[in-house]
Amino acid sequence: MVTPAIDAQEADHEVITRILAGDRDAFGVLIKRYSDALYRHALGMTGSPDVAEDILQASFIKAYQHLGEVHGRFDAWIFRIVANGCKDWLKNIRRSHLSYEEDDQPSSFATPDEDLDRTELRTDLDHALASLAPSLREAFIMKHVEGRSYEEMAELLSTTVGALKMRVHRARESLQALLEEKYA
Amino acid sequence: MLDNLDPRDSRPDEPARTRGDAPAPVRPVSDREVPLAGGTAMADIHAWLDGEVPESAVRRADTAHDVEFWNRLEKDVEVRRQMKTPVHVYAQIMDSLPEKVPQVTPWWRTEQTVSPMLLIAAGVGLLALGVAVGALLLR
Repeated sequence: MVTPAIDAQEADHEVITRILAGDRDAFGVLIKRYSDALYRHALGMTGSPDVAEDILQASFIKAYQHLGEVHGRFDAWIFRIVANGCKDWLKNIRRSHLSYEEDDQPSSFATPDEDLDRTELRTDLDHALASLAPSLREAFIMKHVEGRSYEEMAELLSTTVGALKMRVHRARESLQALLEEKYA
Repeated sequence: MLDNLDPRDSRPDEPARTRGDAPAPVRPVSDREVPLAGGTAMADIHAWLDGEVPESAVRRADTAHDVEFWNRLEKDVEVRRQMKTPVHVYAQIMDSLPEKVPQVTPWWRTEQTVSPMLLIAAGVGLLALGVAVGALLLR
């Protein structure tokens, strides 16, 4: 989903045509194609695997119901639904503690000491991310976790590359100020 | 003509500020669209993190501390980058889809959003048009 080629875009369109013709199962192709990137976004924004799953599920159901209204890129459209779902959730809830469940993490680390260090860093980074303004957190997650270019971010968020660079830079500076005493 | 630098000029009720007064904060930092004062070292770190220059180009005595910090953080970010949607979510979504097949909606029946700025611009445009038409009619 990072840089969708024209072929992928056409393929999405073909899949959507099949779904609109009554092939309900074809929607699974779109879920499999885009869910990982969207899940990472929701998880980064909310800090909770359960909430991220709920937002993902609600977003895909909404996308299915309104699939006939897609006139542009499906990946950009579904991203906006998920991003708005995350923003709505953040508006409605205030959480003092954010942490990932251990079950949702990959477990390919070498030693128990490294595991402990990484778990601590992960928790501290979660807390630091949660303390950022949502727009800064969103920009940081899209740039560093989702690996998007500034141009793609600008297109998805309907803003300028300059504004996004500023948000990412501020997010980095805030995170560094919060974490460097312990980790530098 | 000489510039008038008296700070009281625009606000006659306020006493003049002395040189030692700290300037009042204007807006939260997050709202400002100008670069923060971070020096060239931080600018170099941003350029590296943005993929514009290699790590070797920014690793110096004054940036070594920052480079180490971001390399350490990158290890955790890499884990997040590889996260997958839990397997049960796919089935949950498919099971929750409504039975009704979605219908094609013509673009003129889709939901349209208008930003406040666009609304204001349209209002100003209409007002200008009205003034122009009025001026023509009154000639």
